[in-house]
This record gives sequence, C-alpha cells and structure tokens, in this order.
Amino acid sequence: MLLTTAVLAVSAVYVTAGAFSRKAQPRNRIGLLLVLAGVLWSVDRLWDGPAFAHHLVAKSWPAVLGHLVVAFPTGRLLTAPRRAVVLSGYAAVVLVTAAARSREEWAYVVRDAETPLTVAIGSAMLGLQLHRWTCSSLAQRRTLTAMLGASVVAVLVFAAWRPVERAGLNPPVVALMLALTGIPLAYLAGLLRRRVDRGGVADLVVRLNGQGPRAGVREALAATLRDPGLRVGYWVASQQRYVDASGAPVVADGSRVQTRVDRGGSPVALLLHDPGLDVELVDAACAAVALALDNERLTAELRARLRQLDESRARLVRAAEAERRRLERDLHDGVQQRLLSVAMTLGLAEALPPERARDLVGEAKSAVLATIEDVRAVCHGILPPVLAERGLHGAVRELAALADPAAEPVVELAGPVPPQVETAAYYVVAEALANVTKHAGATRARVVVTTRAGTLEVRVDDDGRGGADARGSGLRGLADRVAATGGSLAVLSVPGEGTSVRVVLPCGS
Amino acid sequence: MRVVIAEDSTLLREGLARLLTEAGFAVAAAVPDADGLVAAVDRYRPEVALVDIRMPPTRTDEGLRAAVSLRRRYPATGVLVLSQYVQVSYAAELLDEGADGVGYLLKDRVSDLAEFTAAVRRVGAGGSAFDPAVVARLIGRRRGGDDRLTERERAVLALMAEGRTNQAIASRLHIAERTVEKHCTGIFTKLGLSASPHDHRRVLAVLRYLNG
Repeated sequence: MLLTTAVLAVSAVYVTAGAFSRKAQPRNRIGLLLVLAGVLWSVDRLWDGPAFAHHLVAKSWPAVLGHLVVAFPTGRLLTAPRRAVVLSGYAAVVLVTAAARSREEWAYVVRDAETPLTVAIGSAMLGLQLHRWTCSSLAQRRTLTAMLGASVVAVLVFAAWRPVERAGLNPPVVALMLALTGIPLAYLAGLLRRRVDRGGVADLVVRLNGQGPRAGVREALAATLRDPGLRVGYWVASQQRYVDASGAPVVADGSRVQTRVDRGGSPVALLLHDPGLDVELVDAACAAVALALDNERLTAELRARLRQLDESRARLVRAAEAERRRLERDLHDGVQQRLLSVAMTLGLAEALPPERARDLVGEAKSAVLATIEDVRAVCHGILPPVLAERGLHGAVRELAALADPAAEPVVELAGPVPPQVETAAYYVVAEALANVTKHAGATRARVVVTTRAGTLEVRVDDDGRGGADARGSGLRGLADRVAATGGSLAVLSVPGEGTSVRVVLPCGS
Repeated sequence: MRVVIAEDSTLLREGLARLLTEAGFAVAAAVPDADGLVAAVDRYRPEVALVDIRMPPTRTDEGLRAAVSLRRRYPATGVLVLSQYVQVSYAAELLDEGADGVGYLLKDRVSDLAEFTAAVRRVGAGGSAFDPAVVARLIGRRRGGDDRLTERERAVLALMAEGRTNQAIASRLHIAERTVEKHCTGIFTKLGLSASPHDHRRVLAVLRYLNG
C-alpha cells in the first residue's frame, strides 16, 4: 500500500510539473512529455497485464523520459544526433519488450545486452546534453544546469538498477523513485526562476521610474535579464542606423541575438543579447522599458547629432583655417608681388626717355591686368560673384548653364533665403553639377531648388552611370557644409540608374 | 557718337569719361547709379550706354536689370554692360531682346584703347560685342558636341560670337576676308544654323547655338 502511494506520488509530481508547463508554455512539448512519463511510470509499476501492447506502453516510460531530457528546454529535437538518440531509446524499448516475451535464441542475446544498451543510450543522451552545456552561454547554462544534474542522477540510478537487481541485492525502490523525481523538480525550479525573473521586470520598471540615482536603461536591462554583455542600440532616424548611448554606431555580431523594440510602429531600439535568454522574458522586459528606451533614444540621437556636429565643425574649422592661409598666400605671393613689380617698372619708365619708356608701360599694364585676374580668382573663392549679384536664383541658373549636359534649373523660392543657406545651397548645386559633368556621363540633368515648410530643398538628378561614393571627398565636404547649417544630405546612386543628390537645409529665421 | 556712363566708382567713372572723350566720343552724362542712368538715357538718347553691373543701393545686379530694361524701352540706344566677372547666364539674359546694339565685356578690356573703343562703336552702330571670356566659356562647355568643326572654324566661330565683322576676323586671324566668308558658310552648314552667315543677325544665331 505504501509502495503504491509512493509510486503514485512520483507520478503526481510528473503530472503536476507537466500541467504547470502546459500553462506556462502551452506550445512547449516538455509538458506533454512530463505528463506522459508520469502516467506511464505508474502504469508500469502498478498494473500488470498480459497484452504485448500493455507491456510496450508500460515499459516505454524511460524512453519518454530520455526524450524529455534531450528535448529540454525547447521541447524540440533540433539536431540529427538528438533525434537519433531519442529514436534509438524508443526502439530499444520495443526490442527489449519483444525479447521478454520470446523464447527464441535472439531474445536471450537481447536480454543479456539490455544493460549495456541502456547504459549506451543513457550515456549518449547525457553526452549530448553535456556537450550542449559546454557550448552554451552563461544564460543558457542557468537553464540547463539543474536539469543536467537531475538527468545524470536519474540515468545512473536507472542504468544501475537492473544489474543490481540481477545480482540479487534487491535495491530499494525508493532510491529509483527519488532519483526520478529530480527531473520534474528541476523543471519546476526552472519555471519558478522564470517567474522570479519576470518579477524582476516589474522591479525594472520601478527602478527606471524611481527616485534616486537613475541607472542607465542598459545597466537595468542587463541586470534584470542577467546578461552582463547586453548591448542597446538606439534608433537615430536621421542617420538611419542604431547608435549606443555615446552616439557611436552599434554593429551586430554573430554571437548575439537581435531583438527590435518598436513603439507606435516606429523603431526605438535594438537589443543585442545572449541567444539563451528566454524570449518571452526579453519581450516582457522590452515592453516594460519601451518608454524609457524611447527617452534614452532621444538622448542618444541628440548625442549622435552633437558628435556629428563636433566632427563636422572641426573639419570646417580646419578647412576655414586652410582657406585663410591660402588667401593670405595668394594675396602675398600674387597680388602684392605683382603690384610691386608694376611700381618698379613704372619708376623705371619715368626715368627713361619717352620712346624707350613705351615698352615698359606696356609691360606694367600687362602686370596690372594679370593682378586683376588674380584678385578676381581670390574673390571668387571667397564668395561666388553671381551669388552676390543675383542671389540663389541667378546662381543656380548660371551653374546649370555651365554644366555638361546643360541642366534644367527649377527654382521656386517662396520668400527670401538666409545668406548662409544660399551659400550652402550654391555649393551643393555647384559640387553636384561638377560631379555630373566630371563623372556621370549623363544625357540629362536637373536642378530643383524649392522652399518647403521652413526648409530649402535642393535636388540634383542625372540619368548617368550612377554608383557615386557618398564618402568621397567632394560629397564629404558637401555633407559637412550641409551639417553645419543643420541640414541633411542623401545620395541615391544606383549603378546604371543615375545619381540623385538630395539636400534639406533648414532656413527658419 | 554720344555715350552715357553709369559706374559707381568715381575713379573708374572719371577714367572712362576721359578715355572716351580722348577717343572722340561725346560723353553726355556720367552717373553713379541705375536711376541716374535711366534718367540720362531718357534725356540725352545716346547711341551707347555703358553700364556697370554692381551699383547702389544694393550693389548686386542693379546695372544688369537697368540694362535689360533700357534695351526694351530705348531700342535705339545700344547697351554695353561692363563687369568685373563674366557670367554666361547674364549674356543669355541680355540676348533675350536680340543681339542688336548689345555688348557684355570684362572691365579689363578698357586697357586696350583701340579694341575697347571699337567695341563701343560697334554697339553704338547696332552691332554686338561679347567678351572673349564669355564666348570661351560657352564654347568650352560644348566641348563634346563640336567635333564637327575644324580648329580654324572654331576660332572663326569664337570671333563671330564676339560680334566681330568678317573684316575684323580676317585681320585678327591673318587670312583673307574671302576665306573668312568660306569658313562662316561652312560653320553654319555644319551646325545647321538657319540664319545666313552674312546676315547681321548671325551673332544671335551663333550665341543661341552656343548657349545650348
């Protein structure tokens, strides 16, 4: 009577664990296997029947148990060796059961081989799990360790049972029962820990919204998910990429799983986390911190922008400095020297009789004209005269007329454009059209400059060969100029389909 | 030949007046801004108005706008625009009203008295005078399309576009006037231009062609 109760108790533990599993993870087959193992175990121990089918079913509980151990924790047999070892477990049950009822020669061989067979299959199962454990990340090991321990005990005791029995030592059934109970208990412990982890998500919300020193969202998430290497990338729409809290771009590597966090349909952040993390837990944590992540994203976006601005400002400062030096050199080496030589030549002409002075005066005139040419070039470098004289409208027309092929200019300005925006737009058009002339091999080009909702949009399209490198020095310099005015630049250049340079410049006063 | 000068720099204004008087022109007025220019043209009806582009009050394109409006309102007055820079699009704008009595020169050209006064006279007589720099830019831009022309024909084309007569082209290139005529006909045929190469409207045809 006591034995029956004990057997049923073991069975109950299995069924209960299975029921919990079905409730927590309805689609996970582990629950089903637990219930099955529990029921078959009690059938085997408490009911004896003559039918082969009855025997087969009753004796199959160790195979089901092995299946459970190998399929843990996903419930699926994902690799061929696992499928093979589980299948061989079931096959062994059929073979041994059949052998127990047969009186033929082969049956004795099988009966003798039963223990080595059990040991072999059990070791294979344990081997697979052990291998998996060694290959696993920290987070995965947290899940696997308890189950692995329980399986080792169960397999050892089960494999040892029959030889001990045969040796006539009559081992206590309680030992087997205790060993077997380890598996559902380890499983239940895992479920419980998940519960606790989920509770941690609630703590996470409290931690992020609470008073006192606020931890970073990344640190809080890393602590809650128990994944110290967790990385968070925040979406920056203007750059179309994820960046970390310092503004540096986040690049995915193969060893981590990416989970996207969206809010209201638009991307907020990207979690790079341990592949072993419970997906539902990650989802729950993401949902809980979406708002905080969005805030952090805005901060990160701001930082990324600042970083970009810092970089482009530094480049602009360097460029401006180089420009000043160049101007000084041009004026000093060109204009000043030439004018000096003119003064000298004229001084000489003054001292000579008129007929000899004539040539010198002509020489002086040529030098002056050359100086005018120099000054013109210097002035053009400072501010394109056409921009000064006719504004953006006229300047775009001039640039379009000089491009090859001549570009079609479309300029629609609703109101006056601030000078710095005009200059930036001028250089965008100039550089883009210079690229069209130099590289595109286009048959048609078009420049569109329009004001729209407080911005100035510049588009230069061609039907040339495409494939422009947006990181080339020309376009890079352009991007800096554009960034300095707070605008954005995009280059669409598919090989064979032309190039489109699109720039948006804020021109609110 | 009567001229009116509009130039905001006193030094240049006085210099131009002296130079033109020296060369036998009658300088009717020398004014520093666009309003003064229009008033002077209206009053003296000169054969030529010399117009600087940058003038008060904004010193941007007052002169150019005044020039375009003068061409419309006083077709009998030739307009010669002088500037520190040449822009292809300005030339196109000036040519909107045809190529009769219009010119666009770099200020540098005043240093060659003979060339400069010849240009002023040409514009005053209803011809045109376009700066070699403008023409060079127009031709340079069409580098791809003009393989049809020989080097000599290209040189003739450039001088034609500047508004020079066959005689002037002949003496500049040291060839006979007959040869220039032959080149002109060749150019017009090759480029498929409709105006006659002897027509006084040929400058317009050539410049419009070059302007794309």
